[in-house]
Amino acid sequence: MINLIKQFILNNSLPFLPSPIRRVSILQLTASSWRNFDYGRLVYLIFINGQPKVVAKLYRASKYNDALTQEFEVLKYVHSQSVDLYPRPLTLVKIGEYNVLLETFIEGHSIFAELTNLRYLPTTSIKHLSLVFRNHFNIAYSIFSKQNIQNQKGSNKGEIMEIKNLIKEYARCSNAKKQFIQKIEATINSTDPRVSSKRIVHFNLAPVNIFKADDSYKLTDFECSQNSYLWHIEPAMFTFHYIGNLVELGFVDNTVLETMNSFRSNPKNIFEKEALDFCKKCFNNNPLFMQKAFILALIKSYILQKKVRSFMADIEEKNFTNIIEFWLKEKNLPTQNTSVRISAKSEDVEEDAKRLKKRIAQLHNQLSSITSSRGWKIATTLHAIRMKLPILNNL
Amino acid sequence: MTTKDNLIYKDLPDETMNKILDRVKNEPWRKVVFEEVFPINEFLYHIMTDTSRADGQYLLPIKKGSLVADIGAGYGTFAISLAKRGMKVLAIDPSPKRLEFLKECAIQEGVLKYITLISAHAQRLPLKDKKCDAVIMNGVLEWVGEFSNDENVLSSQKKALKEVYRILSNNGVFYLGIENREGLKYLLGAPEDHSGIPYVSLLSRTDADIVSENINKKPYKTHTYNKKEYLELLKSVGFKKTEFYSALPDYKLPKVFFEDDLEIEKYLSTNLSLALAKTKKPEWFTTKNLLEKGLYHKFSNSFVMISYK
Repeated sequence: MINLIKQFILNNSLPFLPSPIRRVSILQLTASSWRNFDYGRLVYLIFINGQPKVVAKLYRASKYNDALTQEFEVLKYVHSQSVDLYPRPLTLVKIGEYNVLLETFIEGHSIFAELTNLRYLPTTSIKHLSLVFRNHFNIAYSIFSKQNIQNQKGSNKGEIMEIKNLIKEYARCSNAKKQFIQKIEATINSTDPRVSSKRIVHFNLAPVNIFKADDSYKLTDFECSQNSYLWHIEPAMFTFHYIGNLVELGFVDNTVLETMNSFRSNPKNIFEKEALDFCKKCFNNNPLFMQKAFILALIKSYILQKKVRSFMADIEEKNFTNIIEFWLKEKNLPTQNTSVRISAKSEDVEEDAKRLKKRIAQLHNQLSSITSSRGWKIATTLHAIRMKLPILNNL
Repeated sequence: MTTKDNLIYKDLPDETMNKILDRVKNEPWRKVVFEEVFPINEFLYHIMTDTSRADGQYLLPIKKGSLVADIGAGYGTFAISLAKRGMKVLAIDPSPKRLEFLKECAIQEGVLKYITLISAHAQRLPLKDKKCDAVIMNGVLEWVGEFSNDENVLSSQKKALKEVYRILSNNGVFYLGIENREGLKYLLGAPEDHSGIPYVSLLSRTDADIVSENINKKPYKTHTYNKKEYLELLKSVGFKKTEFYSALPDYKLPKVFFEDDLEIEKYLSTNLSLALAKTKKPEWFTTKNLLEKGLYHKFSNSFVMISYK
């Protein structure tokens, strides 16, 4: 493919590229494939006259050629909305048996690169590390949240069917569930009116896809992007926080990656099982999403571990609080009734650990119900229903 | 064709391999490998299941329908991956057990019809001249000397390469994935991948034999070479042109392939985190420094070479 792509670049005068083209050299990046022959794609960085200028993407399996068409369309749209924030789509072209998406190269470094380049620096840099992550993420997210888009599909037949089905399902819900749904709905109402319309959601807002050059930020890789009602949280992001905490607390280890792929019939513990269930619910068992979410989780885990370490240092300085409180604080959750204390000097470590696990299990259940994707879908759709009352009246 | 058992590369105990073969007929192959291999050899588990191992194939100018010989097909990562792309694959390996495993995987992946299984050694390929559009040898050439009756390692490796050249069509192309004897990790003292002896690949072959006899009680026969030596070796069997690609972190489980290019190396020096996420600290720093200076390609841990007939 490298030679074919080279030939294409040399033989076709693409806009926005240097001219004349004297030299083309290529770097091939291998995306992880979730151990599946059919998934995964290849990314080529194309250096023209010694400078990185173009990014080419293709799926390993040509049967996914159409997925690139969708990505190309999304990229065209978002780029037309804000030329400074996204790569410029150059062309979608057939090279060999593959569709190849060509877009402009983004200068700068990904946040992921920044994070990992800092990995061997002393702990004094950890604060910086977490700030980089948090700030960059927030900035990129707020930038991207501005991209609203109306549902572009002409017919709303599908939506009406979905609404009908959900009304039926809602009727069958328990009172507790209904209350929960109402609670979410109230939250939605109180925060953002934009939920009534679908918009493009990136669905892979990972550090590796956010680029920083000087003081500007760009978002790339619209592989998973689609129109969605989900508006203020992305499944991948949510899993990132959720599993990240489980990993950090040692209840889920790295092999969860394998478990997620359903290799292991018996997850090691309840946390792993729940993490898997959550992932499956959240992403409809799409391994591509799960894998990416897990990568996010690991980064989060890394950062949290560092934070916990500095937190443990605080304990030594008698600024005592406990891990659960720390965690709840991180999640902006109330911290009352969290009586589990972690103390290096405690003689009853086992008892502490048991209580800690119990408390985490409670928190876990709490989170699990909140993050039920079905509940979420019902909540967001019910909100949409209210916004579409005229449609409902005609049903 | 039958093969002698002592001349076959093995990376799993017979007992485990037999268990895998029993189970894989009725269970998903990835599940079986995870349960049987992961607990005893995590690295091998990745080798057997990580399909990015075969991504070097995209460096080859081949297309759907091409006939590709995968010499030393092993557990089939390349063969199945190629078959998934619609290539006709000759999966060649001396080990009947590995071929059996490959067959079961190919059945489960739905690509057996694209794959012909051949039990043979690299030095004696039961194929007609000029038959193949491409030949792949990934992690195989270095083992040829070890599993050959030939006393001279170079001569046995040449014999295998001549076989490759013979079966390639006139415009055929050869993919060779292998370690660099002067790779950075070896220079930093990592045990040599095949013998487990640090620095042994950097020694003269005579000295390496002495060291190996001392430690492993056998001569050092898993010869690898540096860039210049590979080029000479490939030329000596007839290949007209060879393109070199460096693989990061390694050709075994690569994340990045790149040509010799100063700007690419400079770019990687600040963006190599993806490729080197698990690399040890001294190697990480040294790699970064070499990339900054555009010198990494000389010390790449391994190469992928694309040679044209």
